[in-house]
Amino acid sequence: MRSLLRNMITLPSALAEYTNIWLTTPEAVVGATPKEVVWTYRKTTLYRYRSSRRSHAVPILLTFALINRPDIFDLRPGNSFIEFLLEEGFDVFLVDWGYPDEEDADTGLDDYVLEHLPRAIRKVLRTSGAEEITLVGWCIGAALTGMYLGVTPDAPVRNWVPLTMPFDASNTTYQTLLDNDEMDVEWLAQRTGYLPGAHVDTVNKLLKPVPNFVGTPLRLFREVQDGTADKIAYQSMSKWVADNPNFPMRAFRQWVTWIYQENRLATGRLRLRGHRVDLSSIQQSTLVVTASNDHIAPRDGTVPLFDVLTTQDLEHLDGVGGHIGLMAGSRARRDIWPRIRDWLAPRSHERRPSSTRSETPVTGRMA
Amino acid sequence: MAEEPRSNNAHPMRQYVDDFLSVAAPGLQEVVNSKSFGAMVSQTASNLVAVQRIGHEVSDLVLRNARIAGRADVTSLHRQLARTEDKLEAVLETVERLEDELADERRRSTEPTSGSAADGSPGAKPAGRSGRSSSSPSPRRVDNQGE
Repeated sequence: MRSLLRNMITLPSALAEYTNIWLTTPEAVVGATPKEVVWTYRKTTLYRYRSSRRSHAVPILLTFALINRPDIFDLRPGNSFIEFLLEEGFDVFLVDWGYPDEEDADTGLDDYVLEHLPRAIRKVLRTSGAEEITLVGWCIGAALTGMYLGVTPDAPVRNWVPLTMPFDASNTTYQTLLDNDEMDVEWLAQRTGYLPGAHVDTVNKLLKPVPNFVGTPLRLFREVQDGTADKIAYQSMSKWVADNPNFPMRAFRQWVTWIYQENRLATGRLRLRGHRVDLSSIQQSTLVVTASNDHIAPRDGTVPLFDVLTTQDLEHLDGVGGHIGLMAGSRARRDIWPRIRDWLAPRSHERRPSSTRSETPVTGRMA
Repeated sequence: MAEEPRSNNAHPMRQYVDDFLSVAAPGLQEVVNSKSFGAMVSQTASNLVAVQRIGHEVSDLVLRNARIAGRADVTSLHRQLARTEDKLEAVLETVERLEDELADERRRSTEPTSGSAADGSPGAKPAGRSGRSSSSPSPRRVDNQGE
């Protein structure tokens, strides 16, 4: 009874604070680490984050999905993967695919994989002076980097880190949603230049309707009532979630058809401009990162990648968390990032460690 | 740390809501995972695109009749610029490759012949020099090949 009375008394102030958090979310600081533009090509921009204590010879190139902003790598001061890598002495580059619009309707996965990404890598090499890089891809970004390595056997890439990569789409929720007669991507492709980012975001949220549409706002309100709300953390993530670039229609059509309707990547039937994407040819040191509660790229859909990869230096980091929370959640700095650093550091010396190549295949879980 | 009276036990209303949500979540999850829901989402996307297209066409018609550039004109202009940028990028790549070859040639001609490969700088060749280049597939697009 007392608590009910107290809730009623504090309700107006809680409502005011809750509303304030919602209304001021667009002003949240996201992607605050200083960076410089190294190269631009169409809507794609390559950024460089300079480390003041660079101690690793191999620079890192980060790539993210097409349907959200890469700012998630640099979410907010104190909870930024990029900030962490810089503190650990890595030279960091980031590919930003930009905000596609009607004029980008004919930009396809092959363009990103065979033009944008190789050119960005070339620029990283020229700018950093390094001979090889570490390629980190997240979500669709992981699939794009995998495709690139699958068609470029001699890529100047020493290490590959796919984070929560969609690979085998069979029996996934996305396949259920997208592989039906009503989903006529050809019809869509003829009538629009892009799929609006907001629509893609809504569908993604619908995969977990109660947590996304009710659970999150409700939890925030309760935290406000209890005085435990972390306004900065909530706003930065909320702002990032709401920032959805459009999906260029050609890329969308290819993604839906190739990955979800025909499952070409997992079955080795994917070709880009006639070149077969052969993931078994990837010989880079590889750390596959999966998330136990990932509903976007479920762990069970990524694990079959181990049956395909033949690289001698292969490890699996299976963390606790969701598709995004794994790398950007409050526990990432403590649980995941240090493990990625521990894996990367010995593989980022000037000379390629000879022992790395002679190891017996390791697919054991780090977690 | 939250004080004890603020726990769920002390908030019967919260408990009711949580109980309701814990029952509703799996049910809705099942709905979302169904083929019929997928069909509805697909049809919604089609309707959205159709409405958007009609709106764009009407807007462009109005603007063009007022002799003002519409979105279609901007798109067309952008594509022309993109084609130009492609050519510039190709020229830039060629120039940089020639620069690298020239620098290599100069270095070879000035360096003593045997066993002096170490450059002394850990981990990096001079900035602006390309490292190992990859023989990636041709950047030129062959329309719809492999799709």
